[in-house]
Amino acid sequence: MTIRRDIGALVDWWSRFRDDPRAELRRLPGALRRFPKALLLWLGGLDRRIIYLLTALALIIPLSCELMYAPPRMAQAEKLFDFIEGMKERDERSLVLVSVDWGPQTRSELEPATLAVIKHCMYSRVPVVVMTLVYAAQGFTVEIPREAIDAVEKARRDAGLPEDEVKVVYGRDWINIGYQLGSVNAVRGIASDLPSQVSTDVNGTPLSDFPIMRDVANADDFGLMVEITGYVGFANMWLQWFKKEKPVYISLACTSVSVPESYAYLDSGQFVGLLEGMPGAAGYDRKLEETLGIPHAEKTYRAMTQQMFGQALVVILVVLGNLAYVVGRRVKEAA
Amino acid sequence: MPAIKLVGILLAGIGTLAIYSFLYRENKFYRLFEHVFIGVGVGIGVIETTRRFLIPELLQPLYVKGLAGLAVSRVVPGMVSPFGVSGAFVSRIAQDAWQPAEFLWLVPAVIGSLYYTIYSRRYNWLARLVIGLGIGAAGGAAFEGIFTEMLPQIYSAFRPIVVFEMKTGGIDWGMSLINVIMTVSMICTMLYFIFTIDRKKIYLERAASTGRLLMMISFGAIFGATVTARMALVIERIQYLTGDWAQAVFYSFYQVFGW
Repeated sequence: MTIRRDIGALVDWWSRFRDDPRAELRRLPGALRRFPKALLLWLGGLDRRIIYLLTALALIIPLSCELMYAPPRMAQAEKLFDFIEGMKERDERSLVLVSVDWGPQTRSELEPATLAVIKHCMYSRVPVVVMTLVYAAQGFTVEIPREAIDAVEKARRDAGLPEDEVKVVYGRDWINIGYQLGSVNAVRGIASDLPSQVSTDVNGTPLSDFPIMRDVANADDFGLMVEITGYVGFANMWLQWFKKEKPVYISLACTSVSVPESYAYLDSGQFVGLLEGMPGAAGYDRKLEETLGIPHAEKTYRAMTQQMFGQALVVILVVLGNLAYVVGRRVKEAA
Repeated sequence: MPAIKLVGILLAGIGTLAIYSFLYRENKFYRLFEHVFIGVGVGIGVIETTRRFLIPELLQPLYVKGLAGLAVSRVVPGMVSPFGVSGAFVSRIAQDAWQPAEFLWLVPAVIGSLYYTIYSRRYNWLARLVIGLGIGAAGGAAFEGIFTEMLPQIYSAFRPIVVFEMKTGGIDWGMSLINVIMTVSMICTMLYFIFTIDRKKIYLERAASTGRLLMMISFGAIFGATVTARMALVIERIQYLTGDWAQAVFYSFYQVFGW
């Protein structure tokens, strides 16, 4: 009911002003002196729906004005980038396993990260195996690589590569082994004996038919595992179970909520890199564009710009809210 | 645009608006889509579990390699013999099909089904057996896995207070400061959770209070990250509503009204 009260007060003031504008103007200097305090007190009791409206405006206006700023560089994302770049020189195990363990509810943050990592692997000709432990992500394991292939092939064409080097070939450069049921058991199965855990790709073709999977027996044959998840416990599960004899390098792309707890694993060296929510993915995209010439995903850059405006609003509201709280308490004490 | 895709996009947009209508106030439109959302989620879960697990992992082995194989070998014994009426080919199919070990799948199936006894007052104790079995197995696995996960964390918690630079041999002040802050934070936070010692001594109390303060700072960071994550969700929805959905709405209007 605060909105009605505020609108009512505004209507009252307007009717007073219309009746006797001079009297209202005489009151103006005093009103202006009291204004900051009154404004803060008003803000203290601001209806939450106005805050929702302001947030919506802060997010819609940059989109409708087509504003787009380059995201900041992210050090942890660049670590993962450098790791993938150095894979071929460092080790004969250059296969990357990307587990797309997220659903529609975290799509906004994790789709850009998935797209960026797959794009990078495909462009750098590091073979990539895509899978998921979440049934809701099955569609994404098909859609996102398709989008990545388009971007990579376009980048290669723009770089002037001959047509036979442009194509990303299924079964040689990448493969989708689809949804694996059983979470921990699936991870343990893939780590210890992949052919018995996964016999076919997502289309039902035997894995032995694909050159990319011909010599892959267990976790030891993977040079890197990238876990992309918004679920609690999934990253820990891969950390705990995805190993055979040799240590497997694991990297994480997570939602912003999980970032603070993920730093601990980064510090201890258990993760080789970290994509911190949408900013991490956008930073990775920027690195891809600057270093390899792969065009950035416009959607991600726009989202980052919108987020910047949204966060600025949140900061302003937090500061004003705290000031309003202090002023309100003083007024109460004085009364 | 295919009609089914168009309907999907339109419904997704309407659903989004319905859920966001709760921000204004509780309403029937929101309630309807809340129930639809939960129903669809449960429905997909049931279908996926049946399609991906129950049929290929339990019913198929039991039926094809168990029951059907048994039927073939018992009802038409002549077919099983390589010298029988149908010859070696049919015999081989029947023998391959008949794998008695597949019946062992019945054991976990029966044990798992005991979960449903939770609805019976008389037999609900059987459900507790299954729950206990599950918790025991999960606990055992977690105990095994936790060492892989936690030991590197414990190692990395022991850090040098003074860090020397590799190239020059001088003190790396920045890294040293970080390590000092990290060590102090860890000790203070742990002290806050130790309740078995008397904290009458002022320095212990102060350290525990510092630990609490440091935790509050960390919770603040987590809360900030949560706000960012939630905002990302809204951004994705706004992009969807102003992009795909708006296009679909205009397209539908054009198709229906011709404008």
